[in-house]
Amino acid sequence: MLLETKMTGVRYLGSASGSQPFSSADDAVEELAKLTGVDYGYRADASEADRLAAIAKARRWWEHGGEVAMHDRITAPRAVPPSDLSRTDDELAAIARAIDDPRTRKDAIAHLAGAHSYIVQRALVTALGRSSDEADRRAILAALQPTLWALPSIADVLARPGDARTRVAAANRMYDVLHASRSFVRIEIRDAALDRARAVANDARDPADVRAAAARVVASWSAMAERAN
Amino acid sequence: MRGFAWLLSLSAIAGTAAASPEDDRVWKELRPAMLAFQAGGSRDDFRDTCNRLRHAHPHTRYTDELSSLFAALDNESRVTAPTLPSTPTADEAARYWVYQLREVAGHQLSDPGEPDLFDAMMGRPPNAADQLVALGPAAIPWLVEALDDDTPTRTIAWQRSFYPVYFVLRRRDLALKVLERITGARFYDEGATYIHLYMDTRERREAVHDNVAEWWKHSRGASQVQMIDNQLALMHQNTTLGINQRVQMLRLLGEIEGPEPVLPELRRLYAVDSSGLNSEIAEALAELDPQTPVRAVLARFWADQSCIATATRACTPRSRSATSEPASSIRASGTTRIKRAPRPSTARAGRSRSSRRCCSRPR
Repeated sequence: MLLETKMTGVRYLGSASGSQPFSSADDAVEELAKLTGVDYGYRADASEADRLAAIAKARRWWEHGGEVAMHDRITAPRAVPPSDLSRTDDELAAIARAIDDPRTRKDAIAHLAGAHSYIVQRALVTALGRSSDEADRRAILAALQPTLWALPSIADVLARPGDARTRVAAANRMYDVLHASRSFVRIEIRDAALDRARAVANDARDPADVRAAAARVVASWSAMAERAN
Repeated sequence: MRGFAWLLSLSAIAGTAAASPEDDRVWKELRPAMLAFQAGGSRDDFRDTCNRLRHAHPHTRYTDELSSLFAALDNESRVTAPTLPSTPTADEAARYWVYQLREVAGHQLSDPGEPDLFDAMMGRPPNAADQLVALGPAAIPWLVEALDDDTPTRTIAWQRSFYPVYFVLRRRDLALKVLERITGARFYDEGATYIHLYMDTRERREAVHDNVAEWWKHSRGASQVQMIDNQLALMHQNTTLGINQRVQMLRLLGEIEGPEPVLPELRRLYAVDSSGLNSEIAEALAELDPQTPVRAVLARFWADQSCIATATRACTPRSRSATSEPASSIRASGTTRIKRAPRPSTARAGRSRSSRRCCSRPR
């Protein structure tokens, strides 16, 4: 699907960004990023040229080692439902426990295949704060839905010292949360998260890519956050 | 449920009542004067027009409104305008911007609808309403104080643009909208798209005013979550508010804190909800707990009441034997076991009936 780059539809990206044409490859690269936890630099609100560049980057990744890296998961897929929405309460509790336990966390997250239940989301947010394994933290960030209540934990990852790739991933997830949130009401935790992103963007001690990602988050929220400052 | 007499009386004002020739003459002058005022015309000119029209035509449908506009414009000409220091404190800024609400020129783009008050969201330079939202809780004391303030703003509203009645919103109307936007709490439900606080009945205005005063007593210095919590506890005192405003606040609280604290109440409300497909409660539940609609569909399916289930019977009406299939209990989703039993006659009965119709489609 990454080859299907013909723009066949339109996506509404919120009042700040308006509508954008999109292709099947846009969907594919988003899903691929979620499944692999790799950041291809794809942003839903970027220009068509930038999005196509990110899609090309994902294709290169796939062709130069990505497919091999994913071999085990591809050839031995588990019989998992498409998401957790049809899971029972007991099953959800078991998933939450598996995410909570550092020994089973990696496997549990790898096999989430779509985490929508707030019980699973809560377990992921809690694990994000507890885990010190950077790969786990990136996988958690990729699995998080763009829910506002996860924002303080995501902002924590961005603002605190750690692996630059994880912090960039946190900035990207923060961007998604902000754009999914409603803009017609002031939200205290959103303002606080934006303040933290602003501080990172202005802190010369932080890595350049982290600062750039944080700056992008702040700039993207121009409609409200920048309204009067 | 509150009475509708006040709505009917306003409906009579807003265009459905027959206009006299005298009314027509006033409207021919008043409408352009209002639009010129909205576009930035002199406040003194508008005041003088109102005064002249009310004296020249003292017995029209516009007389009360003209008198009210004149009195408010005349009063404000005696008020000293606050200035904005180069490095203002939050308090100074709030006082200044609340005063400047009078310059907000909101435009109504739809019939019916309400005027857009916040320019920044429309990509325009921020106006006083935007500045106050940016100030956040520091602006609240000044906004609460402004809830008594009838000073005309430049915002014009209407029921229909082609009806011969437009409304000049007052500072209190805008202050309330800004307050709701800063806090996320709801303090007023207009009841109709062409009703605004300044024109509402005295009882309803007082209910809003008392509610806000009591809420602020408890909410000074509180977090946003606590502010919304406080209003959820106090809203029953405010007769303008109803279930929709409660659901809106619960939903916002769930978005900020996570769904766990609000889901039990939303589920209780949903159990007795009869608003059908446009249910705000169902929408809130689906957003906060996406499993709710999935489980509801699965429950209906396993209970043999869904369109899919009936479609498998070649769209024939369910026979008696069909309803008496193995009935002990069927695994739905979650740990719940749904008994295949006749639906009790509750407030949800209407929803159940329609969903049992063979191949019925959502309306």
